[in-house]
Amino acid sequence: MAIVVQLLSRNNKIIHQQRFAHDEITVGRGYQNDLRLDDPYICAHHMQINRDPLSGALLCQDLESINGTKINHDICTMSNLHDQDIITIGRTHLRIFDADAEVAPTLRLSDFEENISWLNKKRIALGLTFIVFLFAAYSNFIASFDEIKSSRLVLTTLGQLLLFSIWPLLVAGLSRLNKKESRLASQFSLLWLFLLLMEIFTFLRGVIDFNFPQLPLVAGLDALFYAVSAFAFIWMTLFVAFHQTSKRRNIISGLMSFLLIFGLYFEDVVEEESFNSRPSYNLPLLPSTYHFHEPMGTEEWINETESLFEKLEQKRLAEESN
Amino acid sequence: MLSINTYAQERAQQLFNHYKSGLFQIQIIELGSGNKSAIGSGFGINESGLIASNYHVVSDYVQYPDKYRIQYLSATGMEGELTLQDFDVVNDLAILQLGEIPKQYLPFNLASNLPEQGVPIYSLGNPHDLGMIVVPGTFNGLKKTSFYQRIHFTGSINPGMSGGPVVNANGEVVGVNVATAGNQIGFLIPLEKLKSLLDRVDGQVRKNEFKLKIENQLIANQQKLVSALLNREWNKSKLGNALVPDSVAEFISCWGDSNAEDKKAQYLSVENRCRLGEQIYINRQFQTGAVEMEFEWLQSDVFGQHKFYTFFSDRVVGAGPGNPSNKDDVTNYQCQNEAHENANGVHSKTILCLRAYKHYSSLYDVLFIAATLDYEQAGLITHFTLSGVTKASAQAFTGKFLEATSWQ
Repeated sequence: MAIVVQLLSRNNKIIHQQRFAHDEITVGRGYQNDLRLDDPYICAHHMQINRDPLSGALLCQDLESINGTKINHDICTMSNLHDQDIITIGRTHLRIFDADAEVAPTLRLSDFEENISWLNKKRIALGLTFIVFLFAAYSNFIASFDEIKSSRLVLTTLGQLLLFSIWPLLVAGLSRLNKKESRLASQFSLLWLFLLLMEIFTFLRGVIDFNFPQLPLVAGLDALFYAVSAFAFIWMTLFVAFHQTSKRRNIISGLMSFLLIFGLYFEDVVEEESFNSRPSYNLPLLPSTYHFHEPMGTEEWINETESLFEKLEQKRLAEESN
Repeated sequence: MLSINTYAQERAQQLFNHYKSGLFQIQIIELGSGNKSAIGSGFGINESGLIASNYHVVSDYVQYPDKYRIQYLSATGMEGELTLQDFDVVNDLAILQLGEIPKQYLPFNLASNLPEQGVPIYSLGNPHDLGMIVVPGTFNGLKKTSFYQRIHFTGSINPGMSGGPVVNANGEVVGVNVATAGNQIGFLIPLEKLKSLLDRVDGQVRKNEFKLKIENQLIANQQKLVSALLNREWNKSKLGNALVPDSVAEFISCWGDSNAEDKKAQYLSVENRCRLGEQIYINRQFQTGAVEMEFEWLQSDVFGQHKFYTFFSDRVVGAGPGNPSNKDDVTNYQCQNEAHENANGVHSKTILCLRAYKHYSSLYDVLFIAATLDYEQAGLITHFTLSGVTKASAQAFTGKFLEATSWQ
């Protein structure tokens, strides 16, 4: 029969833990105590823990200390202790329980964990960083129509990558704070893979848009794709960074990706179409090698406008009835 | 110079004295507050008290007849009611009837023909509550490049003089002032337009027919305008590797621009823009009747094809309508994106945007823009806007426009 004492931080994280083989523990600032705490607000003989010989339950007793003993924030002189009770003496938080207390069931080590271990290789992370850098530099180059110096291009691109790096650094830092391995390389690899995926998707989307601009449901499928990839990205990030139950991880990733998509499409969903004297149109252009769609002749083109006139007439009638 | 000016001033003074009883300030009164919402000028044209003015002076009333009324203020300070008899929205004319004919009322006589070029003419009006003013100027003939025939008048007309008469040295009316703020050169509506409106007047127009009347006038006008554009061979001129329409009609003026002088530019841009100079005023926020055509050739030896097309995509966005509008008058634009190839083998991506007129259901504003795909590092942007046209006109014009470009 043994008793476990855990010394807790302000937000109840375990700082130190000790197991006592006997059934009586004295706690105080004095040197003869079993558990000595160096907290000026604690008395020399502050409190003691006994085991009730009949029931085996633990009893906590205050030894008329100046600042008293609190169990779950309530002052008490003598009380039964339960497993999750938090004892506060002076400025110190303790949890004291029977060493026989049950621990949480063992988590199964997932194969997935093994399968993504390559992400944590520094070579992979560095290689991906380089590829993303090239992609980003090319995008910047393509989009600047004035004369551009290569040094300036490199600096701008590095600045962008640095900005993106905040995310993996933040997550890795949080993971470290939680006493877990930070796995910074994995976090970077994940981010770069996600960005590359987005880049490729945007390009493919552009080619589809260029060929089939009137395709229905495209906006909805876009949103779905973004939602799924954001969920996957956040889920993986959490998987690498924290030891959580899958349920908790699913809930957090679900909520975060929902918020992201909601933010992205907020205007379309919530806002009513307001009057704009200018048309909002999109005419993405790509070299004709990307054009697989047979162009129309003038007559057919004119016939196609019929549906536009019809749509507009419905819109006019709808606005009239409002 | 001094003597000419003095002569003109004296002459003006004589005119003022003789005709002040036939000149009125026209006031549009908001019924709720009793305040003036607009003022302009008007003048008597016959013994029974018919008054001529501009449509735009009384447009508040025409748009919202239940919110406004029209009254006059004579040169002697007398006020009285006016009723709207008829109007011509295209030529910006309105005919009103004096509720009660004031004493000493002397209407203007209409001239039988237009004066010679260079002859002095006088623009009259009552722009402020100060009484009549007279602006001497010179008759410079009909504006040659005008679809809505206007007289060119050198002399600045104050906005409040709109609707006032322009008379020759004998005091006979040769035109009506149309003035917009900030224009140093005034334009006048020629007498012919006023005469033909007068011939049509037969009693008061009913309030609930105002919108229909405007629509019919706009439909007839766009018919005339679009057929004038369609029923002729369009001149073509070179723009980069392309042949594009140029000065398609005498009333459409064109000018070009290019960045060839810019040594640092990474690309060449040559453009040609054509436009109908005038628009039709419907209300304070809404005009129609605009025609614009724009062509831009872009070429770069520096950009690779991907970069060129990114640049090209960037240049085709942001086109806007040629006429000002308001949400009470038009719907939002609705656009359609297609791929097109014309009979000359010009392959392009096109955007057609339309918006409907809320009160004139058969009329639309059209905005078209297309970009060619035939060159790797060069391309042509073709663009036009039409405002206030029917579906048939829009389709016919677009059809002609689509076929109008070719490669050299």
